[in-house]
Amino acid sequence: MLVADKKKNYQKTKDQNQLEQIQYVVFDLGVEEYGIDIDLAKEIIKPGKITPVPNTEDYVSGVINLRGQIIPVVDLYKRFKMEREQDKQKARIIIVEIRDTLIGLLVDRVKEIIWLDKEKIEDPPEIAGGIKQEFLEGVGTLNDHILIIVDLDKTLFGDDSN
Amino acid sequence: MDRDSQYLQMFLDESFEYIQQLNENILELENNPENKEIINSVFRAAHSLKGMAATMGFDSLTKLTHKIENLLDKVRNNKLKVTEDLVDNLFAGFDLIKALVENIKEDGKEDTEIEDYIQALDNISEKDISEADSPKEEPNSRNNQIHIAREDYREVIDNIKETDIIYNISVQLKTDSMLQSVRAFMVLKKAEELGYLVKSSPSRQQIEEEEEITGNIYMILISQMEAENIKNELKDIIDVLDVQIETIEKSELEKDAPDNTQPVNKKSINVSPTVRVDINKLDKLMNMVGELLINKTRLDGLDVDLEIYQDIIQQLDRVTMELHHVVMQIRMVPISGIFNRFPRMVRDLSRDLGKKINVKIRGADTELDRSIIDELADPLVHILRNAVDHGIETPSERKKQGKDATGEILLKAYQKGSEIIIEIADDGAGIDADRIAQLAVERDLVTQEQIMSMDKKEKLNFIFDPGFSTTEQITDVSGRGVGMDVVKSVVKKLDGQVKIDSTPGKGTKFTISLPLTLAITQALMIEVNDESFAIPLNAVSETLTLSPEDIKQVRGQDVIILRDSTIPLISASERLNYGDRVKTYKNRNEISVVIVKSGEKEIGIIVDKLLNQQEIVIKPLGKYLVETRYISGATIVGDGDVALILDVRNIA
Repeated sequence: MLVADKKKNYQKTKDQNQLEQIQYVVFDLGVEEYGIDIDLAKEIIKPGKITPVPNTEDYVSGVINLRGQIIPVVDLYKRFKMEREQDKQKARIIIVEIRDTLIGLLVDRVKEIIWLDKEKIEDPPEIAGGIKQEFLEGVGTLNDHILIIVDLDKTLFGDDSN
Repeated sequence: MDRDSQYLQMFLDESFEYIQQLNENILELENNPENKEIINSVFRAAHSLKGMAATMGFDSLTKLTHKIENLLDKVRNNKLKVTEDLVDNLFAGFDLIKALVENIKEDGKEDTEIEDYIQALDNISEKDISEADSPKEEPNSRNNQIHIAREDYREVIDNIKETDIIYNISVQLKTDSMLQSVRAFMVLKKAEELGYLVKSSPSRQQIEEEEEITGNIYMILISQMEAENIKNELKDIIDVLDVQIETIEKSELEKDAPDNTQPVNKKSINVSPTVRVDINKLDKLMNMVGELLINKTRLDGLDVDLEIYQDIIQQLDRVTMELHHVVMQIRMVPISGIFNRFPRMVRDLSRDLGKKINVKIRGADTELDRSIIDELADPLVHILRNAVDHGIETPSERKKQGKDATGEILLKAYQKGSEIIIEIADDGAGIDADRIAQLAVERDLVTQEQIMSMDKKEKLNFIFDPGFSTTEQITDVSGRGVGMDVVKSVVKKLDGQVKIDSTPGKGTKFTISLPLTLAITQALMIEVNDESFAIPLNAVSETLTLSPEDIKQVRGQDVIILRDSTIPLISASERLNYGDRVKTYKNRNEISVVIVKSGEKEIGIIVDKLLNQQEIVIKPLGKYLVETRYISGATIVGDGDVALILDVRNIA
């Protein structure tokens, strides 16, 4: 099928079924795949030197210099209290803009950008990939595997009572 | 920006300035009702506003300012007395003007209703005029009769040469002329050719705006020509019926001219031309200078053994320093911009509360970085509101205490070293430190035991705690202490400090100290745990290298004795949670210490290494990390890495 046709087709389905689709940036943390709303993502960079900031939560890796701007970097591994086991070469920082602030998310690897029907997203189970439910927006199915959709606002600004 | 919006912006900026000026002047007038200077200044501001509004085509604003101008004109001509009522009315009018200008700023429309007010104004005008004992005058002549206002004298005197003569000229035009305004224009134009036209009635602007020209044209002209020649030249213009000309004695003017040094007049003469610049452009310029500095520092760090390289570096150093200095200067604005709003605010608040308060302002021309000024307004408002609401007592209460019935709030700003100090002092009821401490205990902010060892200042400081103020009842004006946490957090964000001192029955004083500028500063670079940190130089009094035996112990605390004073030592590594609880620094042969001052207190911060001194561009850590303890910001160092700035004031 030609791209144009595809588009038309997509448009048609969208109109007919009023399916709402959301675009996600898919990244790896360990063996699981995670997604965040692409509207929040500004850019993806290779990590350079991250300056640690004392007296912050342990999941704050530090700050980086992004073209003259100081940006905090949150290590999602640590935020989700997971064991790190990745190969550092492929690590990336996804710069997101949330609550008018730029924040970097340190992840293993950025894989792809996908569309997902909103109705294919289910409420999060108690635990997904070992992460507490409160940090998750939902779980979607992508071909044959599961995509865990992260609620960034809660992840970054939520109360860390544990 | 297109032309229209450019003019609109200018209009808005200038309007707000005039509104501010009107408010200030009327407050002054209330205290000195007989001062003609002030009345004239008010009148001119209102007149300028009207002219601007008319030019921009804002009808309601024009109408409103016109009415107010008329009212002021009556005050000027002694037909109306300055009473509290009148002042209230004028303030109400200025608020309407402000509301209209704000409407215009928002959506370009004048949404605020003004008819009721205009009706009210018409009423007082009529009532008071009939009461006022004004001399009856010939109709028509009064309005057009030119008189040189005192502020014009100075202009005349400054422009006059030895051989010049000052003429007062009256030109009568044919009344049935079809082209009255054209003829009037020709008269003015001719007069301008003949000499220096100081003033005319109607003015050139009025004529150009094709206002109806009736009656004679009056002019004040400075010229070297003979009176007779001027008369003839003017008579040659078509439709001119008659020209009256008389000379004014110079000495007469000099006698009455206002003194140049008087502050009221300071705006008018010998000011360099200025331009208005969008603040965002200045911010951008500042950022660019910052980038330049960072790169200069990087160049500096290169190890190039060439004479010419050293030369260039030195030149570059000089130019960037100067550039930085100039940009800083541009960004500095006097604190009067916010101070001058307060007398009006306090007046309104105190009247609502039935209190009498006199606001004194000192050091209003102290300059601060624009970005600091903008942030500062809110905290000051909170402090002042508290002073009015809870500080100053009612007149009867004050008399009972043996105080003057009128309370006083003193707003003071001054520079001290590289800091700006702002003091807000009232002579009101004061705050009982023990009661504050008790409330803090009730709110679980502190335990009863902890309070025992606290001094007055520490107890008073609880009013800055967010947990302290939010639970309080909010009255109309302000809850007791409400907003004090805002004060603290804003001041902290600006890298400043706020202190409170209070004596029950005597009053309360807040002292805010702020850095002169936020953007660029000199810093001492140090190393802790292999990371570089910057300490703003204005906090550093000296650096020392100690040997372990220099360190003494006082009640379990490591100290050093420096010039007879005992200075406690604090390990940066411990404060920054790098784990130095076992005081490993004692194992070193040389211990590097930075002595910092915070208020009256001095402490020594133990660091791993002293690096160098350099200029740093201060950048905020951002909202996400804003509350980080002991870190006040970050900067980018030579190699592009980030170095954190130590918040030494809070470490101390």
